Amino acid sequence: MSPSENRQFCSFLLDGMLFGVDVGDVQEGLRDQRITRVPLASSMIHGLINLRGQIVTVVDLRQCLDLPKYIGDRPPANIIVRTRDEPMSFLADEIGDVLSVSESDFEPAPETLRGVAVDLIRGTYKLDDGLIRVLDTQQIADYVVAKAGQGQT
Amino acid sequence: MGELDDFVNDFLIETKEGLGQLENDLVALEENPQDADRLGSIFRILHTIKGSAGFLEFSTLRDISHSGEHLLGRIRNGEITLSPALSNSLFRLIDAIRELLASIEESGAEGDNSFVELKRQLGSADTKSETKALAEPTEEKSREISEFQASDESCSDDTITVMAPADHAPDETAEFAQSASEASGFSRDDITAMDDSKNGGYHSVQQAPDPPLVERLTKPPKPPPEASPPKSDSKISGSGSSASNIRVEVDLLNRLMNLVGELVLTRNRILQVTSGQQDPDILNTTQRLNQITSELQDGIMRTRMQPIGGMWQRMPRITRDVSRQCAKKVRLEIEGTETELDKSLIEGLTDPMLHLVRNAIDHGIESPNSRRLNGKPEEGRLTLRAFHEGGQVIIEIDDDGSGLDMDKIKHRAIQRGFISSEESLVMSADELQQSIFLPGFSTADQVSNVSGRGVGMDVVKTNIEQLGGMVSLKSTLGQGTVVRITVPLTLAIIPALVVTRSGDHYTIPQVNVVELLRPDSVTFASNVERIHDAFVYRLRGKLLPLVELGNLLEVERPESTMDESGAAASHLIVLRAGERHFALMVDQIIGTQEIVVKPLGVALETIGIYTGSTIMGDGSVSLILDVLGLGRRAGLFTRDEQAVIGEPESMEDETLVVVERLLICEVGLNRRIGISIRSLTCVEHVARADIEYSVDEEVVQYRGGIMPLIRLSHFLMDESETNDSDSLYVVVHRAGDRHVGIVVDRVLDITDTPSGIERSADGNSPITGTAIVQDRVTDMIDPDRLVRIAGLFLPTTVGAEASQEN
Repeated sequence: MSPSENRQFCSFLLDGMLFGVDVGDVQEGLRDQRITRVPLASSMIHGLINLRGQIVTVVDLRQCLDLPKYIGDRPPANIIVRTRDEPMSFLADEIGDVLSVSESDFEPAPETLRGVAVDLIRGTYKLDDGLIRVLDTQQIADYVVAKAGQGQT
Repeated sequence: MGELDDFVNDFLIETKEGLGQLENDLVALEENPQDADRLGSIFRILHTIKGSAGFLEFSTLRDISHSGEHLLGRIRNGEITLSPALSNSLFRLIDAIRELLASIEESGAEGDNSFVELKRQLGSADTKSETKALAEPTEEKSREISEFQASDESCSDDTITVMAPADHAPDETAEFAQSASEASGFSRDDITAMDDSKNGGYHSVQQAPDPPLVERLTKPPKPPPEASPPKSDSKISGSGSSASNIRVEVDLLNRLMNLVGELVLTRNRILQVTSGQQDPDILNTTQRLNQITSELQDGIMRTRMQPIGGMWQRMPRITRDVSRQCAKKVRLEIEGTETELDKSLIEGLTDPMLHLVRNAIDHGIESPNSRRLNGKPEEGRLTLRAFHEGGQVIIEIDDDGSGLDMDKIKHRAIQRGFISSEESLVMSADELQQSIFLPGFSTADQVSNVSGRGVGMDVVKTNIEQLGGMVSLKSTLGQGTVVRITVPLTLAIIPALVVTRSGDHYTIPQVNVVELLRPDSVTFASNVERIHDAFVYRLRGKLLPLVELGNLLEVERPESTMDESGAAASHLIVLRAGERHFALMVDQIIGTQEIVVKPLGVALETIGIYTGSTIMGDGSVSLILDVLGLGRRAGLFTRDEQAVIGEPESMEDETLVVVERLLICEVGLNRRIGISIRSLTCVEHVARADIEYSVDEEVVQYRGGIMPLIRLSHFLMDESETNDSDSLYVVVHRAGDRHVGIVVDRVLDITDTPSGIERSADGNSPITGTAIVQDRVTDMIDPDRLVRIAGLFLPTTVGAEASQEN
């Protein structure tokens, strides 16, 4: 990809930080979905929703990224993303706009990044008023599936 | 071969259908060599195969069918009679045709084997005339088949005439639905043809493989029927039906099925949303929607339905072969061939069925000799039966053989370590019979060529459970065995019980539900027992492990709800997990509902406690519980696994008594005793009011007999019974063929026999020793010695066991 090219990310907030996933991965954003919890599943799996007849697994991104539990007034939002095997829903505190960034503003994830985030965060893009951390959709899906076999975490 | 591929495909399908019939006819002919109808039928099918093979230039196939046909012609003309050797050759011919078909299917060519030997067996006289004798009219003068001659010739000479059925340009789509419902009727004809050979059977055989092919050859090629057609197995139909059937790809049906599933869910949703509405327009419309959806669902499901008779076509041949191999005489009876079930289920059931049939003949039905000795007819009966019951399909494999020897099974199960001996005490005969489904279990004295080749009943069970079905077995010694398979009509939409726990909805497949209980709090409290940290529920005298759904799923840990005292009114579901039953406690039972099974995401597959999910009427997602998984999580099967792992050591142990388990009871004030569970059959609650007296003994009526009671406290010089409730705990001990009840105050636990027992030398005390069990001093009681000291029975029956134990 040439440095001048623009890329678009669907942005969302987690614990006050701005994150993003590639717009091409996102199917839709939904609010107020009834989530059925799945007892005995890993804590990264928040539950299941009915997406027009299809059962979609809801991933708690905060758990994946070792962030503290969400305690907001509004229920979290579902970002439906496409992954290799099936659509999944990523749970975000708040869904933001689609942001266009220039490839030249890309910075790889800092080497000091801790824990699991190393694999899940692809890198960051500099914005006028901060950073957007870009998540790798497929990596997160793989991570959740891999960890699911280990029971409750 | 190019465009001929379609024809070849059709030819393969039709020939396979024909072969099934051919096989059954041959089995019947062997029974009754004078049956001219059968002979005619076999003759015609072979002739058709020969004709089609000739047209498609499969020369080996044509030649061997011709040899067979020629042989049959000679039999029909009375030149030779059907000897066992000849019929064997004919069966081999069928196998050879199958082999060729398989080869054609795979590679498009016949392969190298030209079956010279087989042709020689089928009749050496005929080698020279092979090539030109494609349609020898001289062979077709028999009265029985004359009416079909026209069609025979049309195929075998290369002059293809359009048959009548092809003339009514079929409105295929319109007739399709109709044909689906007719399919069962046709197949019934095929099958009856196996039993009686009246004209009905005759018709169905003759024309089926033949006219459709002819018709197709004369019409522009249809889209390739890649997937096997929905009705192919069962449809050997009458002449008119070829025009009203079309072949549809299974993929398309699956897609339609999914869409209908969605529609059903949407309908459920609409019904719920509009349930409070008053507007008659809305009510009427939803009512109509409801009706149409149900009918559509029914119709689409039916397109995937096939009569089970198709799968059973192979059974007569298999019965014949296996019974010969085992030197047994078996008469096969088939009932309910028209019973329909989902195509995928039929496919999944084929192997288990074959295994069960082989098993029944090999292990179930006795040799003619021993049957005669037992006053049974020499010929054994094997009945295959299928019917619908309560939205499910029941298939029974019923033989009148020797049945299962319960003692042998009990012994075997304990010996193999599948159940512990204390488990065998509490297991009913029914449960015990189910243990033959455990892996590696076999009561066969020797492995035979037919069964016992490693594919055991456990595989049958696994296969059937994978289909969402159940398998159980009922057997009476000397009278026979019935294996019963229960499968849902279809896998995609199943009836399920909806329950709630902590506000969440869960669904349980109906097939696992045995019964629902709603004891009030008093009944509940009096029937729940606590054994250490486990709970059991007493149901009609049996103890069921009791688990609470919330506990199991770890959604809450309510300490109080399970307490004997504090239990609120509760909902219990008795569930069947494999051969075990257990009671599951939930908050509420909502009811039974048809649910559409949806797969779980990859991330949830590994939990092992859900089989899938479904969407409830309100649009929310509900998890479908895997009852086997629940049982496993509750620890129901851990003992089996431990037993299997621990088997080698314990079997080697010379002092078997040491590894036995002890029932720990309390008698009097703080006095603990341990009784080896080996000779105990169960623990009973006996009401004080039920105690009667005979001479000066306390007795109770038990299982239709009189059971004397022994107050253990009397023998322990401790008269202070602390149980002052209305009922007594009675440990039932089996002495010889009689039962003795040992009265204790409380049953505490079952543990391993400790190693450090200090033996007691006093032969006049029932206490054989003392040990420390669970930090408490515990006296070991030998129940046989207790009985002897109490002077209850003749010592001969008891003595043998007692001396063995010491």
